[in-house]
Order: sequence, then C-alpha cells, then structure tokens
Amino acid sequence: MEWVIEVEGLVKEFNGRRVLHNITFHVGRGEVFGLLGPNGAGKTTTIRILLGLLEPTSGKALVLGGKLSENRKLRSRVGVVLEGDGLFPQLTAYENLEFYARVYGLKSTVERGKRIREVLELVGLYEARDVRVGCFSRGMRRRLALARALIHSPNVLFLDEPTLGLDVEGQALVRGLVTKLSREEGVTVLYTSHDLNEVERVCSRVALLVGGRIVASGTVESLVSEFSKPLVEVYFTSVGEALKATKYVRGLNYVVECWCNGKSATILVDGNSDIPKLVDDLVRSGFKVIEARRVKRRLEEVYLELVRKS
Amino acid sequence: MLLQVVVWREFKETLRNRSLLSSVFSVFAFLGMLNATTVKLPISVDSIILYMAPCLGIIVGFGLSTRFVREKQEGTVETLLCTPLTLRELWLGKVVSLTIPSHIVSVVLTLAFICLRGYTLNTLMAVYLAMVVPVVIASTTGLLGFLYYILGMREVRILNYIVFFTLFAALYLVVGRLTFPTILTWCNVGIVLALSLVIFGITYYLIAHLSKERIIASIS
Repeated sequence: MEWVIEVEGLVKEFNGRRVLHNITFHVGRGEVFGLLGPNGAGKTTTIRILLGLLEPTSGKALVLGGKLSENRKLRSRVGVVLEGDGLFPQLTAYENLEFYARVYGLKSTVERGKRIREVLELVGLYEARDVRVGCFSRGMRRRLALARALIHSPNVLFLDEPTLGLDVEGQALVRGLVTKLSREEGVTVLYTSHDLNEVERVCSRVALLVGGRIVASGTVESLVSEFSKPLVEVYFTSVGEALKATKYVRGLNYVVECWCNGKSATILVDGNSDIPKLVDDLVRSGFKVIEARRVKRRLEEVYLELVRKS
Repeated sequence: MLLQVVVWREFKETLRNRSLLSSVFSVFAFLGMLNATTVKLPISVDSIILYMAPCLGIIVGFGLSTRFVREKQEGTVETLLCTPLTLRELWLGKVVSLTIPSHIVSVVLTLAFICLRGYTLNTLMAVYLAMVVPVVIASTTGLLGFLYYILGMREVRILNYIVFFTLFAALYLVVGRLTFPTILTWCNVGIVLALSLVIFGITYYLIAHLSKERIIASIS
C-alpha cells in the first residue's frame, strides 16, 4: 500500500525531556486515521512535526513522501484545522477564504469565487459571507476554519479537534464531510478528538497515544475485541433471583466483575469461551435465566481501560 | 506574488483596525500640545524633520505592530506557517503594510506642523521625509516583529514596556532639542539611512534563518 502519512521511530525531546517515544504509524490514501489520547499525550506534537512546525529529534515523519518543512509544493496539498482557527477577525468570511485561496495558488478570480461559494455552502456559511469573522460565534469560526482547510481541495487533511465548540448539528456536518471526502475523493485525514463516539463513527483506524507512546492501534473493532473483555447481561425472573445469581457468579473463577441492575446482572468474563460456560453454570445451579445477551463494548470503555493501565 | 497577497490582506486589516485610529489620535494630540506650548519659541525645522518625523512614524508603527503578537496568541501564525508562505514573506508583508500607513501619518502630521509654524521644506528635507523616514520605520517595526516572533508572551509584555518607555524618553529628548539649531545635512541623512538599512538587513537575514519551532515553542 502507498502510504500518504509515514511516521517511523519518531522521537521528540524538549530541553532533554522526551515527549514522544519511538512512535510508528502509517496512513494510506483515503483513510481517516484517529489519533487519540489524554491531554499531554503527544497528539498535537506529532501533528506539528508532520506539518513541519517542529523538528523531530530522531525518526521519520513524512507526508506525501516528503517533509512539509522543506517543500512548499507539498504544503499546498495539505489542509489543516488546528487549535487556532487561522482566521483574520477584521476580514469577512469571504475575504478570509479569498486570501487563503490566493495563497494556495487559485489564480483565476472566477475559479476562486466558485470554489469559495462551494466551500461556504458546504459548511452552511454562504449567507454570512460578508460578515466580519470577529462577529462570528465560536462554532461559526470553526466551520469557517474547515472551509478554509478545504479551499484548495487538499489531498491530506490534518484535523486537530475540528468539532471543538460546535453544536450537535455542526458536529454531524463535520463527520459527514470527513467521511464523504475520504470515501468519494480519496482524501487522507489525520483526526484527533476527545469525543470517542465521534472517532468511532468517523475513523477507519486509530492509534492510542499515552505519555508519548502508542499503546494500541488498529481498527476500532479490532481494538474493542482485542483489549476489552466480554460483557454479558443476564435477565432473571425477579430482583431476588438476580441478587442471588450475582452473589453466585462472583465465586466463579472466570468472572472478573459483576453488578446487579434490578432483574438483570451485568457480568464481565475473561474470554469469549466463558459466555456459554456462564449461562450453563447458572442454569445448572437452578437459576431461571430468561435471556443472556452480549453487550457491545464501546471504544470509550477500551480507551479508559488502556489509559488507566498505562 | 505571495508577498503581494500578504501585503494586501495586511492592509485591509490595518485600515479596519482601531489601533491605527488611536495611534493617529495620540500623535495628533501630542503635536497639538507641542504646538500650543512652543508657540512663542523659535523651533528648528531641521530638528523636527530629523528627529520628530521618524519618531512619530515609529510610535504609530509600534501601535500597529501588536498584530504580530495577536496572530501568535490566536494561533493564526501556526496555520499560516502550514501554507506555502514562508516566514520571511509573512514578516515582510507585515512590515510593508505597517510601514506605509505609519509613514503617511508621520509625514502628513509633520508637514502640517511645519506649515502651521510657517516654515518651508527644502530638497534635502523632502528626500529625507520621502525616502529615509520609511526605511527607519520599516527597520524598527521589522526588528520589533522579529522579537515578537522569537519571544515568549511574558517577554513580549516586558519588551512592550521597554519600547513604550524608550519612545517616551526619546520624545522627551527630541522636544528638548527642538529649540537647538540642528542642521540637516546629506551626511547625517546618509548615516541615518545606512544605520536603518543595516538593522533592516540583519533582521531580514535573521528571519530567513529563524526556525518555525522557535516561534511555535514561544507560543505555549
């Protein structure tokens, strides 16, 4: 596979303090790759190195086969939404986009006007095109920042918490846009967010950074199945039955944890093969089991578990 | 080409910025007071041209140069550095767009003051105002911009205090010298121009060798 983003053995030190430890990951064309981690994990530092804003202490950080810090042409194929929106408050939304369009080499006025209209409509800000950005709300500025990042139809997008400060509608818009761009136009996206539900919906693969180290990486499904133990919800005929069963299963050696919720019990077991064993043991011990259902684990639970362990 | 784009955008921002208006008003008020307090004293027109004009331009330029800091604080510079623009283009674009309005304000107000006092300009004075004063303003705002880029936010605040009090002291000295006869010669015009060009040249060289990491590290 041809990699659009290549990070190999990346190390970064600030005044002798190591903040990135030998990071390695690759992102292919049209992939949406999520970089997750708690505050101070090294996500923004990794993005900054890839963008050429910081120099790596050692290792490789390439985008489209080259270093962005050294190649002006490569930089014109990359779009970014960073923590700051990169907008000029004294200029209108249209003027802001016009400036960036010219910087990215859209020379013809007609072509520029057409593209600005397209991206403004895409983020739902065309009606506000003549309003100064200084008068925009946080959410509107974030939307305009996304339009700015898309103005030159980039091949690679770096989105550092793009939904920060956006309302539910805005968040859905960003998710939809990112998915559409990656699937239909083959745009590669490096995405960071603290909203794990969002990451689960948007990203095809993720890497979890903790303390400057990648502690897990892969597809969301593979991470969930690899790093989380199976959770089973068992329904009983009465609350008393459920309470008794909870007490009973706590004594089983393959049960990790167990909680009683009314007529049901939520049971965490060691492995997938323990689920039929659990039901079997309950039935054999005389408990009247109505239903036993495996609960789908969320990325958030895996994330919290891994962060806690790390 | 890209420089032109940056200058045009900076211009629009400068003209819409209230700090231009407040800088012009401060300079205007200062000149008004100066005129009122020295109305009966003989003032050397050469001194006004030689010292006062660049000083006024630097004051306006200093007022406008806060844009370097604001772009850093808001993270805009980070986004700009990810575009095909180079740091030198960004810096130069800002310096040019800050110098032109500062120059216009300083020349117009200096000429107004001179006319009000009934003096006339000679060729050397005109050359100095038209060609040397903008270089002085550009070298000062350029150096300030460079320092704003490399310094952390706390150091920037300290720098602003230092510049403010230096300008205040310089104005005090200039006003004190206005009644002394100074002669504007091609020699002292040349010295001022050469010094300004050297400062501008050094800053121009340094900015090209400034790493983006230095700027990013000084933001956080």
